[in-house]
Amino acid sequence: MTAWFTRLRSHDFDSVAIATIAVVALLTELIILRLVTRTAIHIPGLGTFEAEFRLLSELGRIAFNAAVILVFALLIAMTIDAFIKMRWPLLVALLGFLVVAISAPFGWLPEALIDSVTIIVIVAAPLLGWLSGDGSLRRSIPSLLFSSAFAVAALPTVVGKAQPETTLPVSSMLNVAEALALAAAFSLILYVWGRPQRRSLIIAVIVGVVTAGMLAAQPATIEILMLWNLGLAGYFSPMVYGVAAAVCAYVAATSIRRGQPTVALGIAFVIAGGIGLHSTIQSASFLIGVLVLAYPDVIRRPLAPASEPKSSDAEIGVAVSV
Amino acid sequence: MTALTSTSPRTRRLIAIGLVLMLAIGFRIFDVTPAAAQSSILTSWSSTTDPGLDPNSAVWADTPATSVQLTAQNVTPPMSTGGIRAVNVRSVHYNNMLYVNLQWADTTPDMSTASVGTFADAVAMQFPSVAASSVPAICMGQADSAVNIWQWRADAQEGVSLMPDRGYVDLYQFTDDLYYPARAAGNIQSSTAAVQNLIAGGFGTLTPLNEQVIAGAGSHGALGWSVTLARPFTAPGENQPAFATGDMVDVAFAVWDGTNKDRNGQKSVSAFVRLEIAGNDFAAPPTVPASDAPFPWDTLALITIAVAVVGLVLAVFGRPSDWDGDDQPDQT
Repeated sequence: MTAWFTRLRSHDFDSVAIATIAVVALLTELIILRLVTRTAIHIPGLGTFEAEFRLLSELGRIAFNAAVILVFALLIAMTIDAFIKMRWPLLVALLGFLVVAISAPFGWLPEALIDSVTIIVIVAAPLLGWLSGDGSLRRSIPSLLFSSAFAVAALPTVVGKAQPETTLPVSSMLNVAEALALAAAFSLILYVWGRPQRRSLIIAVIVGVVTAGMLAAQPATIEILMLWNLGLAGYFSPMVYGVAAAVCAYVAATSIRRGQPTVALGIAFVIAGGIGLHSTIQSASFLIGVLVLAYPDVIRRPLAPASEPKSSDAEIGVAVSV
Repeated sequence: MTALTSTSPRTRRLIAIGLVLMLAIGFRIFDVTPAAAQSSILTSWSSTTDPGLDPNSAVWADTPATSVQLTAQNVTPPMSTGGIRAVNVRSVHYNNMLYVNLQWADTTPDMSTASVGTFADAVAMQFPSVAASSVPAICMGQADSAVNIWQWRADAQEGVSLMPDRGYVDLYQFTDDLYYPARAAGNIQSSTAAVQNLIAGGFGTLTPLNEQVIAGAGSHGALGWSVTLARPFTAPGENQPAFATGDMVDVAFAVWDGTNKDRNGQKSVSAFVRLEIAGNDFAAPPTVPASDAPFPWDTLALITIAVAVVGLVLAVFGRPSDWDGDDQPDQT
């Protein structure tokens, strides 16, 4: 056993590579299964293309299954990494989530318990990371806001399962969750605070204008797609969502250009997960997203033998100084 | 493993991705869902009393309600302004019969469509025709995944008895279908049943099923409508869900407000929630009826394979930190 622990402690994962492939699978599923096949039903005469439609649906479902495998592989890699680095709060949180999420398809545990653990882990993991000094305050703000949005949106579902007779102001809570999620999106700018980068700005403006324009032109369809995929009901003005999308795009593009793809991956995981309780895979994606945003090195490439681990503040410092 | 680690990192990664894809296809072929839904649950409790079709049965007063949020259907014309915000759903099963009671606030009963400008109140439940790992499009299903719809209409229940005072109906002495061509042709608008059993696979495909077996009745009170729908557990035909204790099926709801001129697609709709057919009375603590369901060996086998593949993926993407190879990837 000692030899096994020693061997495990000496292991290192290219979790950035796993995360990148997982994001590709998640976004493929999001685009094919949750966007294209569900909006294609509006195409007149779709029956003519039924074979193509079925094929596309199958590809989306296979991408979904692949995303599940890769997301859980990434969670296990992160758990082993937390063990190696002796990040005990993170280790406990990840183990807790893995146990309930993997057991969920079997129906061995009450759903209210699975949901409660999911919410607690998603809220506690970034909070404990900040409190234990593993993450900086600046990094923790977006994660904590995203986590709070998730918890507020998820609460009516879990209360409905645990206490069916309890009534909550569901609509108001969903609006609050939406406001928190938008605030979280705005706060992402903290990751790349500094001199603006022209190319990233151009990308951000395009994304923002397209998002606001689509919401203004086709509010009904886009709002329903947002609700399905992100858990956002479109309560606020299209301009607000346009700015939020622009900030996300700017931060993702800038972080990639600065050699910090983990921030972009974190944003992608959060978007693929969406706020509120939908499924264990979406919750897992959201959890990975907030953890990646909160902890600077929760996913990373294998360290070179001579390299020194970066501290969170050092990484932020690099980001600010670039 | 030695042979594997001796290959290039690119080859190893391609092998890992190939394994993941093969496993994903395996899950699909065997229709095993490696993830679990976490959306809201509506429980159908076991009842020792037959609630019947009376919407005001005492059984419903004692059954916990689930408030299902509704939003305006505004994906396709005619779009709704979303008059009804929520429907309270209660469900029990008795003697292998599923009963669902739906209550929503609507102070103005609309029970007639006798004139051009009047529209009736109605409510509907929508099930995926075939249980699958992902639900079909909420808007009437999709080409490869149909939905089974149970729709109760106030005007159908009331018939012509609530014709407006100035309405006039000619005496029509014929009663057989020969003189009612729409009824004979199966036109759903000519049905005299309060509840219709329908199927749809996308917009414009709504069709009555041959098996018109859904029973139902509605009643309007001071607070609004209370409607009960019921159907035996056994599927009456193809593309209709069967129910059993321990089952979990997806279901969505829609409500029409005649005062708001709701009709057709102009309605308030919910997202899919899950209906759990519980094996116990709500007074008893909820338990998983493990004895009623066979152990999911196929799921266990595939998850075991998945764990093995995950281990292989981690082995491929991981290495001892003191590994002195020449394929060290670039630092991030």
